[in-house]
Amino acid sequence: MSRNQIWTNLQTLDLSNNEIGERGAEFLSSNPVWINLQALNFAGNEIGDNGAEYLRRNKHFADLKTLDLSWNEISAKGAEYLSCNNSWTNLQALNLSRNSIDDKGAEYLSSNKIWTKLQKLDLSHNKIGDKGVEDLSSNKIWTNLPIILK
Amino acid sequence: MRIGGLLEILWYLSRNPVWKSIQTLDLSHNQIDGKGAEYLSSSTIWNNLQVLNLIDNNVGDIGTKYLSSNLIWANLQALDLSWNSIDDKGVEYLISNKIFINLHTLDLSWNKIGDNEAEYLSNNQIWTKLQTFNLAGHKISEKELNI
Repeated sequence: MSRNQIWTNLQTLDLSNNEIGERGAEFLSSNPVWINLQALNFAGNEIGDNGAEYLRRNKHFADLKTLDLSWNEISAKGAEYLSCNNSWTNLQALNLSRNSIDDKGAEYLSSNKIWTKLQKLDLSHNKIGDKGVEDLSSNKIWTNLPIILK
Repeated sequence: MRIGGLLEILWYLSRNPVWKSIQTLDLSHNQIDGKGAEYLSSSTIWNNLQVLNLIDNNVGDIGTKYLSSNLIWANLQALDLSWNSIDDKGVEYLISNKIFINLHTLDLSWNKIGDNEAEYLSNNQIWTKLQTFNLAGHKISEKELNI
């Protein structure tokens, strides 16, 4: 599927609850023709920190607005990789719930300078404490983010 | 709804000349099986059908075969066959369809589709307008994704 050349109009791809894994995330994020992709759902796929790193390198999905990575065994390291992404400038909703992101991961996320349009960040059911929440709320870029869900 | 009653309804429904211009048909959460899908697909009057929702029925491979062999739904834009016990065989029927050239939404989530068939779906040359593709809830692995 990752070598698909036909769906140049693809806007929504839902592959949640499969067995994609970290390599699957790598293959999919390397597709060059899905440049109109706006919503990507990889929830429940065990992509882990390495999968997050492969996704972060993605340069083609510049129009991505919604990314669901819940239930994916992502920890602080994966959060660090994701927050370094510099392509998804239109990202509005990021779901990282049901992972194992701790205060350190929250700190990495809060250093993000790209997602200026972020409106929803779901970090429920992780391992974030008061310190992480403090760091997240100190981010000055996410001016459109009304609520941070802990 | 009784199965017999449902089949009868589908039979008359697909031939009802009054609803010639029907654009959206939602028959989700019923008990439509292969036979019901056959009756639906035998319609020769719904040229304008754009949305067909059959979520959570029992269409299966045989029903998918009939749906895929329909020749008049050239305007179909959205087809939802999620939760329908569709196996690899059903996917092979689906990709043989040459009529659904305007399809922009295809939902096949929560069936029983494997790696090879996922690949066949993504190689389909007819659905060039596809905007939304849902294949959630299968066992699609990295093996397929590298193809």
